[in-house]
Amino acid sequence: MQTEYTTEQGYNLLLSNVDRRLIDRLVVKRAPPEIPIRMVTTWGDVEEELPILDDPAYQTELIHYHLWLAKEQSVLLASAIKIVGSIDLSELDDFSQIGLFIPSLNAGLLCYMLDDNDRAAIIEIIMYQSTVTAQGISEAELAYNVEWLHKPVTAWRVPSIPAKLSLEYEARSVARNHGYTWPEFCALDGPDQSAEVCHSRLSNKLAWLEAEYERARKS
Amino acid sequence: MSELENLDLECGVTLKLKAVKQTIVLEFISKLGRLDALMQGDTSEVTSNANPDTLINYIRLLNYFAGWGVTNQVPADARDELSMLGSGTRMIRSLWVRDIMTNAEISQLFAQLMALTFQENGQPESPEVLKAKIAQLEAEAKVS
Repeated sequence: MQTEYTTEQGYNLLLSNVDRRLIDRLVVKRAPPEIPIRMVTTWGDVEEELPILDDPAYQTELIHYHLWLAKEQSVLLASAIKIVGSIDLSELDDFSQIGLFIPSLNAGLLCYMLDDNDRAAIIEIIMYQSTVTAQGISEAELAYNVEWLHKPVTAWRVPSIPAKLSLEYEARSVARNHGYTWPEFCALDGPDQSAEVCHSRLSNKLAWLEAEYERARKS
Repeated sequence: MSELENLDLECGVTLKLKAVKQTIVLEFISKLGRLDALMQGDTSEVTSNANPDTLINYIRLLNYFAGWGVTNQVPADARDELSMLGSGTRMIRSLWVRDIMTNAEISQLFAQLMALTFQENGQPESPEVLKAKIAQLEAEAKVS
């Protein structure tokens, strides 16, 4: 799957995808810093956890984490970028001279040369084409157009299970249940992976709604 | 905003400034200590007492600000002389800018470019607010 993209500076790029297994490895390599919390007493003497987002130490750690993630993402996604036509990359030589480490031309382009909006848009496109994304799932939901009692299934509130599953775990479970080997599932384009995961989530919701319907009908 | 985009130097040159990339600035700041001293105009405090890593990263950040945050064309005679060093356009501009500035003006350059680069909702942070934020970040970085 490929997408043509033109940056604010007029660079023409062709964006493809990366193997989602590389993305999964990056996600678990380093976790974002934990948000500090404080216990506060609210109405009725109820104790609640209050996240302290403006904690200076947390903000510093967050900056370090985002800098690390930006560089790692650039290196990872560089292989999915093809420059169409010519781009003056001499600025990367200047960046090297002031001490910035440039792992590759495409990584340097993505990390240091592009406008922030372009960088965010390019990352979004490559991720969409490579793995399960919220955008891919939304598109699949619209396409499936499944309703229960004349209302979209997604609009029904269904209780969640008390387990915490990673996105990779969910994807592997879906692959297994839908008859794919993991390499076969990873070879699908991002939108197709998202469609499989969306199908699984909708099926689970429908199963719960049907069970509740039967229970109500019998009682 | 226009006040921040111009910096008048004692030598008679007016530097035209523009915002640079936040991520690159943060990359250097995260390795830099005593930027709070720089922002107070006390560059001697940094250059005389800093450890080698601090000095290196200060110079890197200064090169970045001077080369990318300044849009002036380098005068022809200076350009011809500096191009013999074999550097690119931005490095030549950086070298020229550093050559014509006093220490106090370098500190002011830092303050104005930080304000231009880290503006929120189209409004720049005042240099005083930014100085306070950076000093706090650096203090916390040392603690953590």
